[in-house]
Amino acid sequence: MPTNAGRNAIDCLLLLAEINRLWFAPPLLIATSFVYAGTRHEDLREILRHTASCAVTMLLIMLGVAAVLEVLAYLQ
Amino acid sequence: MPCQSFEAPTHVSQSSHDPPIELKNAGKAALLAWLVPGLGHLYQGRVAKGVIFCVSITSLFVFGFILGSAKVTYAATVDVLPSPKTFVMERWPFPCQAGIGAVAIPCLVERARYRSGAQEGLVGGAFFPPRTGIRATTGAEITSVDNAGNTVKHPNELAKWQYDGGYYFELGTIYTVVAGLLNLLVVYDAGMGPLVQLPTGKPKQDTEDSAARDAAKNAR
Repeated sequence: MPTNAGRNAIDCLLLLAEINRLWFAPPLLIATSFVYAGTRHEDLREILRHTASCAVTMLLIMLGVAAVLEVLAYLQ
Repeated sequence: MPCQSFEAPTHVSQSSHDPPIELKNAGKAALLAWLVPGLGHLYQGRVAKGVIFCVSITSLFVFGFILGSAKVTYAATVDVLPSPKTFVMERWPFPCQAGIGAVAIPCLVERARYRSGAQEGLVGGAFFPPRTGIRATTGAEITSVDNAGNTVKHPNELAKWQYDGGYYFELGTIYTVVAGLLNLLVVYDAGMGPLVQLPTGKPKQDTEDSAARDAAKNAR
């Protein structure tokens, strides 16, 4: 039977494993932002500016959804 | 006889704020954009956008392809007619991945080979459909070895791929699906110009102009 410390360590490892999965999101987010912005402007500077704002918006939405899910999981 | 010039037809896209964009040979550019992401834009001389689309979509697709061990892109093997719905439902990611012609064409070639009885794919199994149905029962036994060294038997090859790849098989599928769908936007952009061309700072000048006009009117 694992001790409290052992259980905490296992929880931390599980959390790290979940964080690692999150690293798969940025490439998707960046590529989607570039294409989305690219199909709305012709000027490169405008594309880059829109890409940045689009990426930040998507990131905030994802964080919002994650926060809601965390709250729901906590209440469960 | 006067000399006729055969210039490529152009399509002009215009929005309310930005100058019109001349799209050289829109149809051909759209076809090229479908074949290889960004190629249509490079053909039209829209180099920056071409490079952005090419790098973004190709890297996304290649990343997904590698994550899925080159097994996530294949077409369904059932007949397309009389019910295309079955064809789509058997392998729904394929119609999305087919947004990239360089993926759709080898998938359809390998599908045709599979249906004609071929046992192996041309390029190391990539794009070749998994052995399912009768083929899964008649051929060699489909097995894999788990972490403990035990042999796991699978009902078909798709089950084996999903078992072996696990989470990465799904992730690879999603990456390639998104890449294919994004390329549809790029194809549209190559053929018709920006989907919604957003203002690039000129509206401010318009506002200033209208304010000056109003001031002049008031002065009168």
